[in-house]
Amino acid sequence: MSFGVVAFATVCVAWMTATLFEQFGCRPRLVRRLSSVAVIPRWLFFAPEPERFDYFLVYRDHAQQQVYSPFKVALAPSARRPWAVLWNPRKHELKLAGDIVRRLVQLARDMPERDLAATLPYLMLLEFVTTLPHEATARAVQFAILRRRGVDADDDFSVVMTSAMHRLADQ
Amino acid sequence: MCDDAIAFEWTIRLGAAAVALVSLERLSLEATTGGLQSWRVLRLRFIDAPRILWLADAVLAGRRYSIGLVMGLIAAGVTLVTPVTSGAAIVPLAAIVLSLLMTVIRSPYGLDGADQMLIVIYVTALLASVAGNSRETRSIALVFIASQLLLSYIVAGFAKLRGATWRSGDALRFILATQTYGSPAARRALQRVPLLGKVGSRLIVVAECTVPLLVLAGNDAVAISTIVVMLLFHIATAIVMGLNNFVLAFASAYPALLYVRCLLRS
Repeated sequence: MSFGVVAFATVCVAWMTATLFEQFGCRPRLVRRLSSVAVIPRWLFFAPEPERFDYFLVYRDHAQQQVYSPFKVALAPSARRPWAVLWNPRKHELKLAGDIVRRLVQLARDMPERDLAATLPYLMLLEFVTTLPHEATARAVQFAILRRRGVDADDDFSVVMTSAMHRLADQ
Repeated sequence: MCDDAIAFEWTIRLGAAAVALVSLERLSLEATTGGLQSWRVLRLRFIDAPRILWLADAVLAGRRYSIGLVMGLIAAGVTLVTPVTSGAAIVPLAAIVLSLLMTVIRSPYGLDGADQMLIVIYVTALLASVAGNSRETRSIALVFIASQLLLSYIVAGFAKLRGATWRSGDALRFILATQTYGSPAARRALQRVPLLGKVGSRLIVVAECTVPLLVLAGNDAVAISTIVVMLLFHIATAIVMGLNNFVLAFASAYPALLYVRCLLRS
């Protein structure tokens, strides 16, 4: 057996061992680093508890004093087109937005708002809303995350979190 | 399917179709709403590691990520029409791996099981090619890919057993009630016949937990039926939940699974 075959087999065994560690939540430093770039998979698929909410990202502009624009929708799930079974780019965007929002909500539980504003998911959402259309007089922007338990839910929307006001760069 | 070359070829080619689809979908998204993944923000993750930041900037800044997706798309096209067991196959395989890694390194968010499966398949195939693309390396690669596939079902199944809503049979109803993963027709069906949701939720858990046993230990009829049922399950999730990329990504590992079953039987 050649060196190449032995080396390849060794890599596969190590990779499988790391995958098993990852599934049981036992994550040595190397596994943690590799799993952060998805090389070590975590096979959960809606487990142990499935997602029950739709998330919505909204934002509003602040012009001066107490003048605010109405909230506008930045990101919201929408009905899929019939051809989504073959072509569905929107799912990547919704998965991305869902992951960011869930991580932010998780961080918001144990972090003061000042620190939260320096986290990656917060900055991603802030950067996104600043690139959206704003009122000509807008000086600052605020975003909020809403959620709804299913399309036919009686409890309607609830506010998960609201950001601070952030100054917009001069247009 | 005891021929390692045929199984390897089918795995790589089906996977290439999945890579092409995902690359095209991500490219179209980049052109419209790339703002959610602004590199100006994402690069801050590497701010404490200047060398990694320099490398990440060199590969991912500006339009380079889109170029990487185009590269993956072209490489997938090449893989679909050229022999994957030749030495030259290493070039498109490396291009696909680079393209997939660019996506996962760029952002820690937004990846799904299909992305993970494609990384497993293509990193393994690339390493097998680097190690000589011999009968032995292909065989090891196929066993590894099949093991990851079976592990994916078992882990997902047993993890669901820990969830109260999967055990109670409410999980499917909750998922399909959302706009993100549901569909009006499925919602109406579950409202009319609630038993469908209860039975469906539990069937998914049972199926995921028992797939390895049925495929590896069952007779030919049981094994083939199980694989067909799992394929139909992925097609159903594409129709009902919009998860179209799972069909090809997971189906591409099925030739490896058939190869392993054949090895065990012979």
